[in-house]
Amino acid sequence: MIDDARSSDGNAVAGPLGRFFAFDVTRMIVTCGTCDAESPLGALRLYGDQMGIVLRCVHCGEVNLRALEFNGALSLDARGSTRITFRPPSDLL
Amino acid sequence: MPDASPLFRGWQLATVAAIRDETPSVRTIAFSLPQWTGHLAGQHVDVRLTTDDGYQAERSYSIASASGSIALIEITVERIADGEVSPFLTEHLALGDTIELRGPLGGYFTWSPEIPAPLMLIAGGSGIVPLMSMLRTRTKAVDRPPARLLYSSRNFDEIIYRSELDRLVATKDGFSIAKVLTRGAPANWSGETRRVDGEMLAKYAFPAAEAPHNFVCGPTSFVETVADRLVTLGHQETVIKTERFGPTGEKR
Repeated sequence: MIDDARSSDGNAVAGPLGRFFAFDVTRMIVTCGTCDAESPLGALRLYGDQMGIVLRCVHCGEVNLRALEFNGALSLDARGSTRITFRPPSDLL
Repeated sequence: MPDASPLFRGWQLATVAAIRDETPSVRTIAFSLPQWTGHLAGQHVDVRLTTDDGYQAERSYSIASASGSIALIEITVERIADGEVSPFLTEHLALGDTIELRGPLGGYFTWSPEIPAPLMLIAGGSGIVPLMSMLRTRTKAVDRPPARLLYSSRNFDEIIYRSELDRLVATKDGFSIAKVLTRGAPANWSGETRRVDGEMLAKYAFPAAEAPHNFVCGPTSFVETVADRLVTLGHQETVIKTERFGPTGEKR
């Protein structure tokens, strides 16, 4: 699906990925399972499309998160991350 | 109709309330949204179209209007000739039509006027859209931090929001703009005529010592170049917020 409207970073998956979490996903801090870099999810590199989301570390390229929507089920594969951290908004101002 | 399944909750019906052409290929669409409770500048919405045979396409579009508005938002869409969604939104959608919409979405690439730091906005092409929401939000605020916009377009006719931006500068409220044209400029052009580089950022961006908040939005290569140069100029990565478009610079 090479098309318009494709953002290529984690900002674009706030809607589809947001269905897994109670908090805004673009601000959650993802710790890469390979290089240990910490990055807001919104800044991760996005591959795939609305059916299959792949988010990669901006530093080493490791796949940090995969989300699949198939047969009416949502599935999140987070084996490429060691940690996901939420902080209150004031910490990011 | 909005899907009732909890897995797909969040879709609401949006009715086209106004349409405005910004450039030959860019159109602003205002949607009336009875359930809309407000958004932050920089957030986006997902738009979902369903064809008669059930095929669905979803796309994200930045909100262009100021935060604080209730029950009405604007998005600005660039038409991509072979796109699935943007030709429909920019050519076929008419006043009174309804589409499905989800949002507001995203909290990373957002700005609020309560942040007193200088506001540095850097846009490539239609990357101006979420930054325009920030500028419009700033204009509505009582206390306005100083703000600058560095805005790169291909040519003069593709400068989105051109007259409104000029009016904002004319209010002399601490906002200034540097315009860049990368593919040819009119004879009387006083702005820059090369791609945004480190030298240009050193000239127009707030210095790192002033601890500005930097928002960069545009095609992937544009965003990565600008973000890299800002780091070189001494800005902390945590105050460089980025939003990238697809590989060919087509998106919102």
